[in-house]
Amino acid sequence: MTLSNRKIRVLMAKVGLDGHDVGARVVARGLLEAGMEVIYTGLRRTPEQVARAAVEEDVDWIGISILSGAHLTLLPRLRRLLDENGAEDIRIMAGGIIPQEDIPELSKAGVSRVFLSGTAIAEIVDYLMAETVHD
Amino acid sequence: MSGAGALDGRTVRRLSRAISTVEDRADGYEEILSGAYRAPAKAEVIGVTGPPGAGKSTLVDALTAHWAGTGERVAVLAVDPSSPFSGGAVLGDRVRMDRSSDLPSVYLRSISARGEGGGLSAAVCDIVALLDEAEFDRVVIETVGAGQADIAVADAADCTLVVFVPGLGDDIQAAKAGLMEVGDVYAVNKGDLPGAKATVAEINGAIGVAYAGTPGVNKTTAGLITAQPASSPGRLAVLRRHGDPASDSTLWRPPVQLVSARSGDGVPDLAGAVDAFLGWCSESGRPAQRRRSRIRAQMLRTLSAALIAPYQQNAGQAAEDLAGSIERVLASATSPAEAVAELIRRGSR
Amino acid sequence: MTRMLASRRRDLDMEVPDESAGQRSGPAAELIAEEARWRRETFAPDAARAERQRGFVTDCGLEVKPLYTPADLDAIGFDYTADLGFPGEFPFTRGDRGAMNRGEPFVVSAYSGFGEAERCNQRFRTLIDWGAEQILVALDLPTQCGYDSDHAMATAEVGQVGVAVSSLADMEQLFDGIPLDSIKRVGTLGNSIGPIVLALFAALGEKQGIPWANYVVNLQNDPLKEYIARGTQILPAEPAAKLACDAVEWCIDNAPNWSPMTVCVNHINAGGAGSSLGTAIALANAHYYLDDLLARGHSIDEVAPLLHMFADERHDFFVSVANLRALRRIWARRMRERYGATLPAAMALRMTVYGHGQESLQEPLNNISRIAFGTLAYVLGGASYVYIASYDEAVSTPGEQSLKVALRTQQVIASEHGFADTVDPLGGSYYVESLTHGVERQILDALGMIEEKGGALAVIRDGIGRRLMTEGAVRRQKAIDSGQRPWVTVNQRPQKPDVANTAFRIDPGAAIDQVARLQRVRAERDEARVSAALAAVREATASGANVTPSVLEAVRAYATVGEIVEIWRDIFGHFSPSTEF
Ligand code: B12
Ligand SMILES: Nc1nc2c(ncn2[C@@H]2O[C@H](COP(=O)(O)OP(=O)(O)OP(=O)(O)O)[C@@H](O)[C@H]2O)c(=O)[nH]1
Ligand SMILES: [Mg+2]
Repeated sequence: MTLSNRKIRVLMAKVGLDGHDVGARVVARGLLEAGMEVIYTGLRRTPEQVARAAVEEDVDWIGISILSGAHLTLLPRLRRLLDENGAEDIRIMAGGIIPQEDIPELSKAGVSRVFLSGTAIAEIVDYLMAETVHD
Repeated sequence: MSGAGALDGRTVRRLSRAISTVEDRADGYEEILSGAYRAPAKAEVIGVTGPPGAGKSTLVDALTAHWAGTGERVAVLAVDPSSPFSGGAVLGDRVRMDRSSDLPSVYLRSISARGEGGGLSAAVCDIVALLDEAEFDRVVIETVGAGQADIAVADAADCTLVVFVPGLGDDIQAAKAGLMEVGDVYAVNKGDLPGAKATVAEINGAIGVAYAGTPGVNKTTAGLITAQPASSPGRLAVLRRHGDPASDSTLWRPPVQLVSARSGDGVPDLAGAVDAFLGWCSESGRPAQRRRSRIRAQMLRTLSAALIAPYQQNAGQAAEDLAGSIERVLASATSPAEAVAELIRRGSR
Repeated sequence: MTRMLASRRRDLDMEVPDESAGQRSGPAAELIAEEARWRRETFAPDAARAERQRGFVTDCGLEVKPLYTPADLDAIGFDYTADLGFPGEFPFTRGDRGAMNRGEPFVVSAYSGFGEAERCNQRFRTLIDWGAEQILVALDLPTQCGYDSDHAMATAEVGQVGVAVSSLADMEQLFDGIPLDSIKRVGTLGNSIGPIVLALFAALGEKQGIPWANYVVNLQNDPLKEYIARGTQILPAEPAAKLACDAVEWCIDNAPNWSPMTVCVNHINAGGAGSSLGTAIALANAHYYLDDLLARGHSIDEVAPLLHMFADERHDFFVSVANLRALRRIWARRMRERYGATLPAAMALRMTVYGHGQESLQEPLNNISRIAFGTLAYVLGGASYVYIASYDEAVSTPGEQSLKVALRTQQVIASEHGFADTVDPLGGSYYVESLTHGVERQILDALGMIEEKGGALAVIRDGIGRRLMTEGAVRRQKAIDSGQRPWVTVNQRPQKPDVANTAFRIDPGAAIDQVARLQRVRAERDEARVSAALAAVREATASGANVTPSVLEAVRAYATVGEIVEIWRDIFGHFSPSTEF
């Protein structure tokens, strides 16, 4: 007998002092409407707090919405913190204002995907549906 | 691993994954639970309920920080509603947990109700078992906050804390209707706002209808016996939870505490009232009773899920039987009740 | 609220002409019947061939008819004298000043800042050279949130999206060679640190030897909208608003020609509210500040002229025009009727605007035309202080090239095409007057709802503001995703973003130099004077007195932004974040 009811869980986080939250809100709503569980951290979190929350909440993804230009420092640090805590399998996606020329560096640092301005919510949902593996 | 002190990263990771497996009813969950329920149940479970926006999360944050500060290992389960359309959820209670979420001996988990009514999720009691196994001293559960419907927590918790706020106006009447029957301790939060004292008095008045004596522990005396109105609603439950003058030597009258979760004023006293109730429970031999009711609730939930499950599949004998019954009701050949009775008869063969 | 807007929408629908219009009498009835005929016989067959399939509803929720006629003015009971009057006269619908752009055109402005003061100073000189008449300093987020550049919370953000200012020394450097009286206006946002930025500009004038009367400082200093829309809140909302009013009050006595508070629609609309609801929330905030200042014993004629508003409508050209006109009318009536204002300056609302449209990351040069159109709408609506987005808006903070285009765009609008030759050129348009009326009713309905719930603080506390904003933001996103709101190069003729659009980069040395300057200031200043000044700030704050004089003294002594804010955090505590999603 199987009653399994696997849900995709996403931690939606704002790091640093960035106050832009329209992107985080509309993406969170889109994921909710697609049946996912979104945990919202609120504004002004440190990478340390986000990494800890992600482990406690056992999320599949961390979604970082960042429009403050601090992505090259904060995202790699978050990845490192996850890896150090045995959470290598929690993946990071990001969106917001991120110069395209920075994306290769972010990929190298372990950010799985960056969504830029103009992305349709369905594209994000499709990506998560396709990419999430539950072992 | 000792009861107090910091949680290490790997342990948290393991616990968190186990919780997901149990929530999802994913492969291996039975095995996880069979281990968990064999561990001694030691954690005190505090349920926090009350109308939306009453400050439950803020108060849970303050209480958790307080208990963690006394050396306890505390877990918080914050339950939020799920969307009836998609089954998804946005869980936001964490936003308010600034004082506790960074502490090394605190574990915080957001939980979607996943369609379950009553203010909790179907898996909450199972998750409590996992937390027991992980040697938490205390588990604080925040319910959905839907108001009077949030009473499932009374079965799940060792102590139910009901949070009210001043100035609810008419809403308080509606909210009170259900919540006044489940509280072991009451808090009037936002004590920094005008009208808080009046709300304390109002709730004390409502409690006075069903309870005599002074807030907290009372010796059973002749006076107290007659003060219990025989026809008060939920009287049997009250006798079970707060003492029966016929058989108990002491009785509990729920206290009403004024607090400001935001400033922290009154939080130590509120924590003290919760602990006083737990102390009275164990002196009067009630913990086993409480746990029995928690297990019963979880058994009923598990039982109904297990019974329904085969019928929810897309294929198989049960699903075919159900489809057949639907057709017969559709053709005005039987009623749903008769059809279900028939299904149960067939299923038990 | 949504229900109210919907019923308004229905009201407008009812103004669509139909055959039952016979109840009206005279020429209007004839016209309505004629319009119905036109719709049937001429419009419908043509539209059936090609009418675009989108719903014709503005972002703020008003239905747009295919045609407007004098019958629409009749339907709203349009009365020229009562509704419009003359520019510079009550109810100021047509303009806050008599001659508007035909006299002194709007103030061409630049909002700019990056890195640290020395590098940014060079940029300011360049902008002024290109014709910027007002410099608004974009501060970095640590400064706006009350952290010095060497605070742990400032990591990775010093100088990123604005210039870092930790003390008066940074200001001196920032305006080196730029006397404050050499430009029309100068200022910054400083929403959560209002008295501090005010004091920094006041002390800078002293350093430059320029009397306060000889230059104009313009601050945003509107903390209430931070909690729902902009995100630099520090303290709980009530003390934050009190401190902002302290800055205004100081100006009443010391610099009445300054502009110490700009009540903002912009961020609330940007956060999802829609312009009418956003305007209503901003008005509720304005009432809150005004009530605070009046309760201190000042008169409305003294206080109101010091406030102005930052209007916003970024989606619909004609709604922009209508919004500004409606807002001026509402303001004038409220100042006169609610507060008994008598001076024109206390009733005539001046407006700042930030010209832009729906800038795309894809093919960013197209943004030049989007921004120009958005800006033009504001100018036609009668804005006084204009700054505008740059074409690289969706790429990064602007580089010099795009800032230059932004200034030139303003200059073109101010002088070419005859845009600025007559006052309120769209006044009397059937469409614009109908919209002005519709927008005004939406704003007043929403404001009524807000006041019923308890006003500005309730919007923050009960989460209604955030809830409605999220609904609005989601509605916008869905309109874009479904193609209902067209967006060229995104959902129309979609293009991939081009890597060649490189971002403006902040030199990593900037943060290092900034921290070095801050540490030098700390080492060289007179510590005894600083401690005494900070003790005075603490005392003034705790006692509830106006903090500005003590803050000014502290700033003069080179106390830092972070040191002053730390006192406030200590006394008032931390804001409570919103969970509304
Ligand atoms: C709206 C806006 C604001 C509003 C914000 C309202 C709010 N509550 O969010 C207001 C007016 C308040 C504001 C203020 C400021 N802003 Co602003 N703002 C913008 C603007 C115009 C649009 C952003 C937006 O909301 N877009 C709509 C949403 C839906 O799009 P989005 O965020 O891009 O999200 C989409 C994708 O990126 C992606 N996505 C986003 N997040 C995530 C997360 C995940 C997990 C996923 C999967 C996908 C995803 O999916 C979304 C849907 O397509 C941008 C410019 C631009 N065109 O992007 C500037 C911009 C972001 N702002 C900027 C700046 C500098 C500021 C200020 C710091 C200015 C200052 N110095 O004071 C302030 C302060 C704000 C603060 N406290 O942090 C800069 C940032 C520069 C940089 N990083 O290099 C920009 C780029 C403008 C510019 N060119 O200068 N801003
Ligand atoms: N004035 C005051 N406000 C408080 C206090 N405690 C909480 N609040 C505020 O009340 C609002 C709701 O608080 P939450 O803790 O999210 O309430 P909740 O009951 O968990 O809400 P839901 O989970 O949404 O039902 C927030 O704005 C809090 O800051 C308090 O002691 N005093
Ligand atoms: Mg809550």
